[in-house]
Amino acid sequence: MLVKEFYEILEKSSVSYRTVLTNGDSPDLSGQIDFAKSDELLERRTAAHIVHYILKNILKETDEPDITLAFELKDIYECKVCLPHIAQVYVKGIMSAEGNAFGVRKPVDDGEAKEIAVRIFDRASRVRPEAVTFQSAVSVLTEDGLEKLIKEYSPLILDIDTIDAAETGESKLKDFIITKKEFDTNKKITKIPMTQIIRNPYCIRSYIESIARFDTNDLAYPVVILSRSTECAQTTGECLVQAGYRNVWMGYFDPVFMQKIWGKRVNESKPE
Amino acid sequence: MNNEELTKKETEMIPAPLKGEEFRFDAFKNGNVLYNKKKNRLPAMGWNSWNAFGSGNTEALTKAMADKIVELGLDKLGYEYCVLDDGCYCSEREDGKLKNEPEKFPSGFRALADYIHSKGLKFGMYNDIGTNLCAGAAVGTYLHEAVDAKSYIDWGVDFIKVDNCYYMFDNATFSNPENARFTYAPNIKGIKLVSKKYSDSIILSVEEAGKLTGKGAKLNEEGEVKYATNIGTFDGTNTGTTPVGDMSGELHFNFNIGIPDEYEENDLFVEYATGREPGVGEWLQIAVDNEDGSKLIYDDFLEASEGKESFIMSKAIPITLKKGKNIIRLMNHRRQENTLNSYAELLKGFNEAAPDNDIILSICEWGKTQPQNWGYKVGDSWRILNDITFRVGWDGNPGIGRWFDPGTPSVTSQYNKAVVMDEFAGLDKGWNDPDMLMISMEGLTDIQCKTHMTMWCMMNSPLMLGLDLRRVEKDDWIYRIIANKEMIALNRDALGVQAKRVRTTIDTEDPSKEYITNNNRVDILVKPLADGSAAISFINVSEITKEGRFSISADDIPFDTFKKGSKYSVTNLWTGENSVNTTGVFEAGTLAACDNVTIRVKATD
Repeated sequence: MLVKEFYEILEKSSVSYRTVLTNGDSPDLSGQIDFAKSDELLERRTAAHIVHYILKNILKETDEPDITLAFELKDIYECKVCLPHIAQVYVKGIMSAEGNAFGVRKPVDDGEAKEIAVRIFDRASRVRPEAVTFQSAVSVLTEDGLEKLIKEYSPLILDIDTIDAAETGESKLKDFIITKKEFDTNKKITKIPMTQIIRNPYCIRSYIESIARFDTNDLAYPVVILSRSTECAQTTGECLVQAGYRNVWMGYFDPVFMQKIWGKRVNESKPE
Repeated sequence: MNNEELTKKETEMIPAPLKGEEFRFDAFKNGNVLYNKKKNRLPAMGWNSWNAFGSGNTEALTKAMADKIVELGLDKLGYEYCVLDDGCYCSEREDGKLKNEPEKFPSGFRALADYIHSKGLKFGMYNDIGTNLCAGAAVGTYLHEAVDAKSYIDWGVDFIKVDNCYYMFDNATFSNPENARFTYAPNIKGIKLVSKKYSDSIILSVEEAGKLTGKGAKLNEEGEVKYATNIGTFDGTNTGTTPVGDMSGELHFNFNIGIPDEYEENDLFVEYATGREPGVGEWLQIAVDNEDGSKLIYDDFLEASEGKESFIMSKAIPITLKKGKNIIRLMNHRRQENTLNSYAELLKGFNEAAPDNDIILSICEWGKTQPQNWGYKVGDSWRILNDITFRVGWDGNPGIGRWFDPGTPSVTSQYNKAVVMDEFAGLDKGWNDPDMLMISMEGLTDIQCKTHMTMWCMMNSPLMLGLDLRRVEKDDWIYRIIANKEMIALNRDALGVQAKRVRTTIDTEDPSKEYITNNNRVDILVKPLADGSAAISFINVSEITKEGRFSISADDIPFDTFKKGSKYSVTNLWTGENSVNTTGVFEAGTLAACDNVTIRVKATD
């Protein structure tokens, strides 16, 4: 769909839209909105910009003060000039996300355009995103809890050690680390020293990148910390939570139990 | 489009050949600037429209800001640049030239510059090294550098901030993600050397004979095929990766030639596989290092393979080896070199249009290409990360700033990276730029704003105000922060040395170099000053009160220019309180959340 076709849909969707503007003439927002060239393909970021412009400048609707939910969108930072517009239309429930991504450059089709048009002018039809409750602290897993977490979410397991990097060896869990995303099962998995995470909690991003093709900006992905030392796991987990990781678990498990869990998992299915 | 136009277009889509050795990665550490870039300039100070008004800036608003700078006496304190950020141009060029957006800037840029100059201030603008600006206007400087530089000179521009959205030769923001083909070498399995004299060959696999150097390049050991991958430069846009040390990796093969001309003239073949994604590209650079120096023998695309693990052999590449030690380097530093090249084109344009110009060039590629390595060659400052806020203000709304964020948009995200980058800054180089100030934005307390100012002044960062100055009155809380003479004096000190973090309460071997993103800590920064004194900042980076005593002794101040004595005058740069210290140990007590105590200490005997 082209931008100008979106304008036509907007025009047809509401009499009030036309009359609010200059005496019923079609709006020409191309001079107002940097992305909105009439003959260009309408991307979702452009639609968000146009919609936000209409809400603020034509319908005089106030912005949502709390756009925290928008920061759960993993691609929200892809367009820095679009971010406030995307945040508003998302939080107001006018444009939705797919999973945890907005789809910044995804084209808008006819069906979606019409839905957007309705929601701009009919507030009752807006579908606000649900508030997601994340942990504010590290949660402790029981063995049953871990088994359940693995079954449902395939969390990222981190084997944390208290000793320095120079002495860190290969993880005993090397065959057992499973993620929901594509994972290279032959990668060498090493332990991560606790001190490294305490200084730079985001270092696990580069660690994750080295072992799996994984979206390292997704701070909501479940992370399980295993360590021989409960205190080590707790301290590491707290660092991750303070750094913004929102789904952090910890546990110390009997190696026999671990063998049982992983052995069963590996035999049953390949990583997704 | 005829064949000539097609060829030109295709040519335009390929990075230009490097103009000389000085543009190469190997020259980054030699300290030489390009095109007579000026040195010995302190960080820029002024006002920029982006955080204050976003794309909604107008001529009227800019004039109002210039008026306020003078009314508040900020010009007397050093705030001199009035900078128009994105959102001021027509969305298309007119006759190939940049044009003012007629509704927002009806009088044109020359008239606006004249107005600002009449106030005793300097005029700044914004553009981009790509094809479009970040907000979308198709007026980036790519292939228009000379024309645009002339326009800026004609308008009387004194400062230019240049972004890198829509950049042709990297997977920058809004650019084609497949541009990674320019910035990464292909996956490499091995090489073959065929002697022209003896016609025999040596085959070397990466696994057996290849040596990976630097950072990032790695050996893929998955499956039966072993190959080197990820040969390129780290993307520095986001938090989490240290800016110190190697930012790229290479693949080396060493040859020791015992007999003269034994393997002198050869054909080199590379077994490789290409891709168009981060980690595996299509562009390869090959250099030979020996006693004669380093010679670049290949710097171009390789023919695309069917897939990133479908290895093929390259065509013959002539290579000369010398008696003794030779290192064949396979690499790709084009991410840095292409970007340097583009910014250099602009600098060249300015200098050709007006050889005596004094324009400040503010590099704004968000740290993507690790500009701390090369920025000094062409620019006066370089951004180190993506933006400090994405929730900029508009007329009537101050925008939102944060103290902490896991990503880049917060005071501490920028501070945590800039604070370990002191080695890259200086009068003979330029300045690390942790982005514009967010003082007075919603979401930041007055204490956080005060510490934000302290951090930027201690770190010799450019001081660019990002607020609607009509909200400021003389002696209100905002004014007391942005107009703190003592704090500004640190930033303007003639010695031009960025503060060093000498202590931190997080366990680390080297607090001055360790990249720490855990904010639960207190930092102690020391900045040497031209008169032999030093500024010391005790900064509580956390959002909780830190109890205790935090101290540093005169003996631990690591600057030769600092004059020690048996007695020191101590001035608190926020309270104005003066005291005398005879112990030579300087300390601060309990620090409130996000607060700082900053003192200047000077030996009196």
